[in-house]
Amino acid sequence: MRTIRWMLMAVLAACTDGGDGSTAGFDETKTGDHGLYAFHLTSADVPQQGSNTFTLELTASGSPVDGATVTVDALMPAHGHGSGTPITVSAAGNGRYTVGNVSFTMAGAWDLTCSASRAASQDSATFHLDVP
Amino acid sequence: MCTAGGVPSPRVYMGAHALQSIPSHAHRVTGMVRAGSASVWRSGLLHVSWVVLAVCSGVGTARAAACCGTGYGVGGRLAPAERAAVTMQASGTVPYGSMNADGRFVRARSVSLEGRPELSGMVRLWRGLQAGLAFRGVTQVRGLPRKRAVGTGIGDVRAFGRYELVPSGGSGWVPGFALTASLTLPTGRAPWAGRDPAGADVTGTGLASLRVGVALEHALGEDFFWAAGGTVGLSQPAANAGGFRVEHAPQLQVFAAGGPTLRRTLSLAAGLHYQREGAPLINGRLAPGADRSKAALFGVASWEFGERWNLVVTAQADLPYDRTGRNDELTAAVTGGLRCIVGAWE
Ligand SMILES: [Cu+2]
Repeated sequence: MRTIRWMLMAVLAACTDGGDGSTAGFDETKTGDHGLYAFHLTSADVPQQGSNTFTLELTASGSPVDGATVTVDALMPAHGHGSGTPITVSAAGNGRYTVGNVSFTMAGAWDLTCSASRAASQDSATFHLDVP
Repeated sequence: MCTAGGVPSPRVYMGAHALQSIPSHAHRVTGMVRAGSASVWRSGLLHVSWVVLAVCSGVGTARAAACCGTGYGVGGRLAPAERAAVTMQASGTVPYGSMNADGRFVRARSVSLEGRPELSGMVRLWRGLQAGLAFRGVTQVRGLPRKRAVGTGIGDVRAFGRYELVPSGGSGWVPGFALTASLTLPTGRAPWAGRDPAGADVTGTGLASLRVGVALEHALGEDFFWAAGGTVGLSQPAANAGGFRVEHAPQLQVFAAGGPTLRRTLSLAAGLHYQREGAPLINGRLAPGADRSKAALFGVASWEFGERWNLVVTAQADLPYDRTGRNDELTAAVTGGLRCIVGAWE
C-alpha cells in the first residue's frame, strides 16, 4: 500500500508542478530549408489533441507569397505515425494560408512540416510542437 | 534440486511423455484441481508463480499504449503444476502528461481514459514449453476541451510463449530462467487509419511486431521472491504510415521486481520497468531527436481464493523524470484480473 500511495503522490506532484501552464497560442517563424521562403505559423489556441487550425504566412524577402502550392504533414516522429485525417490548406490572401483539420491524435512531440512551391522554387520548414 | 513449500520441483515439470515414468503414487488430474492437494496449491512456490505472472504480463498489458508499438513481450506464464489457465482482466489507463523531445514534462490539458477488457489463455505444450493467445478490446474516451470523443474496437492480437530452461522459482541459489517470445498481429485500427481527430478510434499499432527476451524468477524460501527480465522488440516497417515510410529501431525493455508472500494466500510486489527505443528512419532518413524512453513504477497484489482462482491487481505509473523519459506519453493505470486454472498436474 505504501508503494501505491507513493506512486500516486509522485504522479500528483508531477501533474501540478511540471506543466508549462501557458495559455498563449502558437507563434513561430522559420526560414525554409533552402532559404527561399520564411514560414510564419500561428494559431490562436495552444495546439491540443483533436482538430486544430493554423495560419501559415509565407514571405520571400519580406514580400507575401501568393499562389503557392502548400502542403502540410503532421508526424509524431518518435512514434512513426501521423494521423488518419487529411489536412486541408486554403489560400486566404496576402501570403496567408489557412491550415485546417490538423489532427493530433495523442499527447507528445509532433512535427508539422510545411512545404511551399511556386513555379520552379520549392522550400519547406518543420515546426516542433509539444501537444499537451 | 531443492523443494519449495513441499513441492518436489522435478515432478511438476514433467510433461505428457515423462508422466508415464512417474512413480505410481503420483497421478494425473485433468480439468480440475483436487481438494486434497490444497497443501500443494498453497505452497509458497505457487504464490511466487502467480505474482510473477502478474509482474510479467499484467503490468505490461495495462500500460502499453493502444498505438505506437509498446507491446510487451514477457507474456503470461503457467505455474509449475499448471497445464492450462484462462485469464480475464480489465484495465483503466489515464494519460497524465508526456515527455517532449528534450525530456521535459508536459502536463496533460484534457482528461482521457482508456479501458481494455482482455481474455487470454495459456497451455503447457511440453515440459517447460508454454504458449498462449490474448485478445483484447479497446475503448477510449477523449475529454477534449471543446468536444468529447469516444472510440471502441478490437485491439491487436498477441501470441506468446516461453521455454523454461531452469524451472521457475529456481533451485537453491540458481534463479529460474526462461526464454520468452511474443508476436503481435495488427488486428486493431492503426493510428493512420483512424478517423477521429483525437485518435479515440485508434485501437492498435498497425504493425506486426516480434519480441524475444529472457526472464529470471527466484523464490527465496517461501516468503520472498524476485523477478527480472528483458526483451527486445522488432516491428515490421510501415510502408505508408499516413504518408510516411517508417522503419522502427529495436525497442529494449527491462524490469525488476520483488516482494513478500503473506500468510501464503497474498503476495505483494513492487518493481521498476524501463523501455528505450532508438529514433526511427522516416522516409529513409534518421529522425533527429526522436529516440524515446520511459520508466515506470508498479505494484502488484495477488490473492488466491478457492482451489483454482487467483485475483491479481496491479497499479503502475510512468515516472515524469527527465533522465528517463523522452518522446512518450505518461500514464497511470490500474488492472484487475481473474485467473482460473483449467488443468493441472499434481
Ligand atoms: Cu504516438
